[in-house]
Amino acid sequence: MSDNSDSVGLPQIQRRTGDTVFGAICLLGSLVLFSQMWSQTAWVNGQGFAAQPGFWPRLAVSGMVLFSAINLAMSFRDPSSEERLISLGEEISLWLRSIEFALWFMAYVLITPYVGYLPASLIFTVALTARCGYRSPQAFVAAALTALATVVLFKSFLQVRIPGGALYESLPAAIRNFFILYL
Amino acid sequence: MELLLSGFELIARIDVLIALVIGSVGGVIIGSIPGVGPAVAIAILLPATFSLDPIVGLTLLLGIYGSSMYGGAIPAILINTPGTAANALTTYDGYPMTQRGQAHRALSLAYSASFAGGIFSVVCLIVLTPVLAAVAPLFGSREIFLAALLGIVLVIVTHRGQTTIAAFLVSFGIFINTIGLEPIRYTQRFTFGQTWLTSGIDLIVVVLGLFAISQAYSLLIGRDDSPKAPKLTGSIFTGMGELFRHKRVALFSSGSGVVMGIIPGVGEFLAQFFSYSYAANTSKTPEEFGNGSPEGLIASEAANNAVPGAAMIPLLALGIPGEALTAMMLSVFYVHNVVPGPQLFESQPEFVVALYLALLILNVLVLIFLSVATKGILQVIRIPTRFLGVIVLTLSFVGVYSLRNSATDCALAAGFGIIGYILKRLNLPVVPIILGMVLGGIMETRLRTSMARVNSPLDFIDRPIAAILFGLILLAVGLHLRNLWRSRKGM
Repeated sequence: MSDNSDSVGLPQIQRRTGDTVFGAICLLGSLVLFSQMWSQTAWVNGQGFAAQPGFWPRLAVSGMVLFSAINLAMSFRDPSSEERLISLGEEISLWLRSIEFALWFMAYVLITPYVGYLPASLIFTVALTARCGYRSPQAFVAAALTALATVVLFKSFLQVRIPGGALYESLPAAIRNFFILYL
Repeated sequence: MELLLSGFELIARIDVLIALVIGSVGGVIIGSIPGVGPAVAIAILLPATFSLDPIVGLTLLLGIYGSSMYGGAIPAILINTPGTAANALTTYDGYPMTQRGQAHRALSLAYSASFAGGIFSVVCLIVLTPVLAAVAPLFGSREIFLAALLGIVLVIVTHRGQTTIAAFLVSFGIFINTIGLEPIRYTQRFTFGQTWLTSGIDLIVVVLGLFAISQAYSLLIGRDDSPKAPKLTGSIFTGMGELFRHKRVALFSSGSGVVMGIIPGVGEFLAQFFSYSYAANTSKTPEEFGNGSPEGLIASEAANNAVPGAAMIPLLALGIPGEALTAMMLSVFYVHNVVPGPQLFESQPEFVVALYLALLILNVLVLIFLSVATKGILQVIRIPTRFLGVIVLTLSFVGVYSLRNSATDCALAAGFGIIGYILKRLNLPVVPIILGMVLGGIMETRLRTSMARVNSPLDFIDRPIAAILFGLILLAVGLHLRNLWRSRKGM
């Protein structure tokens, strides 16, 4: 039998770099919610627990505290299995890098009502393609075509609800409606 | 027969057929792109399906769900990278076959096994329909509560080695679902006085964040790669007859896929491992497993493709989704006021049959598509990773923004994307959060309804099905505790 077949069965899950930090964040967040539990949920006198508006959130938050505490304790107890392929600092910097792309996404969201869906998509895909390191004309054309195809598929054909941009109002009357409805 | 014809009448419409073709072809293509997968595609398409007829929207999503595993086998076999998580074991034997110059044989076996698994599960669905129609009405509020609780327990205990974090994530999912205005007494729950939290956090926002946007971050941040697939020569279907030589493995794997698919919270992953272990343990040539065994390939592909059909059983019969993809489909049902559950079998049996038929047709469509388009699909695999990230993020915008045109929803989805990305980096599951949200909501409603009718805790399980479900919950917890005890003792 090969190595692969020897390990048939459920894969062994190993703790990874950053597991303890994530466990600590989970516990901290859960404790903050736990401290707010009584002020943020209601408990009505004379009602059974199942009919209490506060029963499920309180149960869920208590579960979060309990299991995050156990998980954190286990991450301290079981560090030997951790594959330290990269350092903790590197791992956390990767987590933080996701914030950059969250901001790119939010910029796309925020400019759409002003410039319109098609122009916003074109700006977003071309700029993000450049940010990712693709600087060739073919890459920009591919990015622009991606934006165009997405807009045509979803807004023109599937008629998803994305309002026309404020910029469209300045277009000539002959094409304004078309842009608002389809692009 | 009359029911079958009524179901057929429901799908014999041009819009349904177009949705089926787009869903099946799109599913294969999406499945073949490593790093995208059906969850991302379904999450993005969900809001777009809300404006369609329920049967059209559902066949589109079913098409993607049912066909993605066919596509996922292509990169698993050709470049040793599974297209979807459910094709992980396909790499064990598929890639070694490619290295030996047998790529077309491996693909052929994978397609045939997937087809066998898919058809087997649909046949099981059709055969089980009368049983489901008879049994489903026996599920009252307390039985549905217990079935949802069983799903929660199973999704936790099946994450071996990660049960505490899975339990935390389930609790987190239940918590998210409770945020906002409580529907009976209209009290605020964890809104912190913020009006934007009053209406709660939409499941689709969370799904899009955890699946699609997190995947986009992952692709954008990760190493840029443009996989090279080998050239294919010869017919894709030259090895189809080989499946019949291993029909025992194909049958067992399809069967285990069906059983695992029916059980909430289990799904393709366990079905694959179970089938693969069985095939390896009963094979006359166990030394070939991991080195290009046709039996291993059949076991993996037949099992994972039998799951989607079977996963529809708890969804349609009880309204309980067994995993993330059916949880997403549940929201399509709700949007159209089609409430899956016991009453669906009584009030709209033709709708249920139509979905089965759609599943059957899509398997045939996919096979036809693959017979002519496999070589073309290889081009899709070559899309550079980061550019794929740009595409996924662009599409994610449509999914979130078109829901309510709300920047707040988008910000929440972007935030859940960061959580999902960190979970992926740490190899932690995101599915418990989604199931916690969906099953938590079901449990809250059903417990409230059923507790009004019981006098003592024992009354809760005094009906046969409730008692069986309660027994299964105890069994699952008991077996898990026993395993923990044994592993601690080093047994």
